[in-house]
Amino acid sequence: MLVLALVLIPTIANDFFLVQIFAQAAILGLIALSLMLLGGWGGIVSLSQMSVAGLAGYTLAILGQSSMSQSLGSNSWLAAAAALAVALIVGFGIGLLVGRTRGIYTIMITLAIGVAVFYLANQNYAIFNGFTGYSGIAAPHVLGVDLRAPLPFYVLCVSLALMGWAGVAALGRSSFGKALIATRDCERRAAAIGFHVGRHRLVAHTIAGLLAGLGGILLVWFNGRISPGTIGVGPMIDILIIAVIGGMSRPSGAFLGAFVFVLLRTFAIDLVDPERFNTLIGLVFLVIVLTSRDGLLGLLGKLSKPERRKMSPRLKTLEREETS
Amino acid sequence: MSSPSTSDVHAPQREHGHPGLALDGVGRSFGAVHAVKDVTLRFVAGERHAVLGPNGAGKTTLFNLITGDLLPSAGQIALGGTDVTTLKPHIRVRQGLRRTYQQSQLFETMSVADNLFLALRGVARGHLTLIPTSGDQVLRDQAADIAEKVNLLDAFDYPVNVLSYGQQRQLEIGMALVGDPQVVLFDEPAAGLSPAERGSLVDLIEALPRTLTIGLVEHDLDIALRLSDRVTIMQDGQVMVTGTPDDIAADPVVQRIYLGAQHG
Ligand SMILES: Nc1ncnc2c1ncn2[C@@H]1O[C@H](COP(=O)(O)OP(=O)(O)OP(=O)(O)O)[C@@H](O)[C@H]1O
Ligand SMILES: [Mg+2]
Repeated sequence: MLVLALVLIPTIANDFFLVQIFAQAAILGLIALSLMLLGGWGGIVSLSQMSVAGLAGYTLAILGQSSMSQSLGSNSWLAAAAALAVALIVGFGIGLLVGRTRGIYTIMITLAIGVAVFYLANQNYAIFNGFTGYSGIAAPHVLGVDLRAPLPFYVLCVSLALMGWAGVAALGRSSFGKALIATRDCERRAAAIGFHVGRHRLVAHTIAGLLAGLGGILLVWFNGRISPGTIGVGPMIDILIIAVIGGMSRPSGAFLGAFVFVLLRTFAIDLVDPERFNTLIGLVFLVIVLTSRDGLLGLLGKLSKPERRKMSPRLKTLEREETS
Repeated sequence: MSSPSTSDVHAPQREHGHPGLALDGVGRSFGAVHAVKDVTLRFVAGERHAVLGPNGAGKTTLFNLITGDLLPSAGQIALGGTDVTTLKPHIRVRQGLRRTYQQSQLFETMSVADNLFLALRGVARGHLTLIPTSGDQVLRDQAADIAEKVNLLDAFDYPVNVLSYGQQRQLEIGMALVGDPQVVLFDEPAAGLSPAERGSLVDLIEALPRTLTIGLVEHDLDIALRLSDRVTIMQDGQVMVTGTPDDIAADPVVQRIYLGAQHG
């Protein structure tokens, strides 16, 4: 149903909607998806997923083509592949760094990593081109089609988002995914039944790195540029907000959150002045967090089956006895 | 390292009379509290060994040291003839060690099926399989067998956090029976159960294969004496006495410190 809707959308939506709303939501959703995997299932709240995306984006800009002289000008696809590899390695590296930490300490360390990456990019001119960053980065052409043209870009972003979604959903049903959730529920038991909890977390960080990297590449093609502002503390927190607004229990939450976030950011200008966007999103965040334990997913769940409570098997047995 | 007891430690596990589990001078302190002090103890392969003692005697700490949940501050622990003193819990599991917890440690948000599935996966290959596979069904079937054993088939697809206390305790036991266990440690499995539930628990443990080495901490003295071949009494982190259930029931020290604490 969703896929059908996504196929039909281009027939009714204009280019602005296709790119600014749907493609952008798909991109931010992919980055938030990486946080959903780590935080929702692994219990690892990492603030540096935007930094991973950013480092992938920078890799693309540096190795590929841009209007900056620092760019090496290699093939866009090669640059994209290298960017993914960098994201994978950075994800792994962050996993190594925060592996032994838990809870608030993980949040603090990943915040520190993100801030460090921001300042590195801001102050390093040789590689990151400092404050200016890179601009004029074009998406590649496939069979003469410019991937950054509205419809192709919509198709590219939405298909990759769907693949990411399906991939993470399958992961959640796999032995790895279930064990990851188990390490969140009860780390001690997970170890006591034979799982190497540290290795599991490390693999989760690496996969999350890949997802964030994918988002980072698309983000650079979307903006045509990348600069330290792309990966500052604001955008880092935005990813957290998106993931929490949407709900962290399932992969769909990341995209739901991204969609609402992008809608608000795009149209808040009409309602309140742009400066007030953070106040608005803060309010929305507050309302959702206070009314639902699982973001919009939780709210939707309540709406679709308001009466049905999870019934304990014991109650069910009693009920069966009564009716029989 | 050439004392007779260490040669015992390295003997093969399945040979009759050799220890399935051997502790030598094991100690663990928390700050000034010596929770376990210089404990030397054998769990011979195939024996059912109850560890009794008043609250705070160090029974749970002893189990935590055996499984690697805690590391000892002194002494050696050998499992099936291999020194495991410093090994991580998930490595010890591969040598056939299983346990239940006094306070349930379950995957609350997951179903009974998934809890047991994971316990089975934990002792099998494929920890890092990233997609669902056909092999998963085999483990799911095995999970159903165990659920049946511990009377949880009705609740198979329900998340743990909606189960009754008794059902959670049953799952706690199921989690320890997966795979091909050699040594199973039960930490107060009957605590908080109704008399009927206790009855089926006793039947369940009695029906376990006789080749299995069982460690049992149980405050219910009747259950403990009935289920065990050998009994060790601990107090203040130390082993007071080890003997057969009959010896123990008759032992004046036990009467004083254990039964006195229980019934007096
Ligand atoms: N993690 C810990 N940190 C500090 N002290 C601890 C810890 N675990 C146990 N202790 C202390 O060690 C002593 C032994 O505790 P333990 O839980 O092993 O006793 P037990 O024999 O299992 O008692 P119970 O019958 O109440 O379960 C107690 O004094 C306890 O307070
Ligand atoms: Mg105890």
